[in-house]
Amino acid sequence: MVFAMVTSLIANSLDEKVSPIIIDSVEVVVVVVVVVVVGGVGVGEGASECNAPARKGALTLAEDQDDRSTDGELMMIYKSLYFHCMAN
Amino acid sequence: MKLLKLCVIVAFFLNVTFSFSQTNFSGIVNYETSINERKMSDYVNVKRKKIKNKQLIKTLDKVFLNTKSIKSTLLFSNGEGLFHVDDKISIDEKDLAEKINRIFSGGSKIYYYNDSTKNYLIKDCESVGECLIYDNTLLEWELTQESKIINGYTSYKATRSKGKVIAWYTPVIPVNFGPKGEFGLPGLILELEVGKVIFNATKIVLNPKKQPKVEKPTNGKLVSKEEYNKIIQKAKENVFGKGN
Repeated sequence: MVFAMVTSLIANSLDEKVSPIIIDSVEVVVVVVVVVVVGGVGVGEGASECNAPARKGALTLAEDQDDRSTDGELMMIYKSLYFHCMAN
Repeated sequence: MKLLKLCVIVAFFLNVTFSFSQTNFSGIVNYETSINERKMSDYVNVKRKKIKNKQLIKTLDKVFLNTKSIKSTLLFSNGEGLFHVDDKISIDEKDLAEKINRIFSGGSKIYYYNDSTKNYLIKDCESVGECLIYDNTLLEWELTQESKIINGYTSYKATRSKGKVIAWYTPVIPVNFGPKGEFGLPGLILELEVGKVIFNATKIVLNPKKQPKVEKPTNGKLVSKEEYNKIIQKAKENVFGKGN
């Protein structure tokens, strides 16, 4: 749940088409949790540097994956690459 | 009289074979997954050269050149089966290559098969942050006569999805399941090439003393395959945009 919400937040904040994001207390809690999870790296710091390579990497790795759950794997690979990038 | 004797013998063997394949037949199969060498070579010789981001090349190199295999298990008992990766992914795991290889091998998904009720399910608790249980549809296999010996069992090659997925199954073990949700072949899958990885059966125990416990996955939102695809597609569009 945390991953999904944060992934969504990150993606929204980085897309070319800017959409208004209403930050309520629940989202603030989620961001705080993730800051702890990734070892103190803030979501804003390096997020733009990690998003594009994580997307490119995920597409490269998942391009010929199994057709039973391709997109589910794509999302998981993206998250792994993104958090790895953010933590390094 | 001779004909009657022959009929009795044939009936006996048919009965034994049927009993063997349908009831009180259980087993545990261990698999190990490694990066498919053909895919690795394709990456090194073609795809790597097209990537400009050096950090990304470093990351992908780690994944493709990873030599550590991932262990997984298939349990089956009386027409039901369950496949899962042995070690779960932890969020703080530092070895990225191992983590990606685990995702390729099935990640934390649970694959359930039931030949009696024709109920085949996948439980996915990671892709979108909530546990979803959805139908695992049968994908048509193309059988071939090509054969080889795997772990002492004569195995035959089958392919699906225009040859993208290759399975080697043995009719000697009459179980229609295999790793990572694959099913529908006339025998146990001992080797499976899917995506970037290969599953190899490393140990097969038939009719173990302690019968394996196969339980239908619960504690998740039941959705159809179409609903699951919609949910995943929505999450995917948030990250990758439309059209990917």
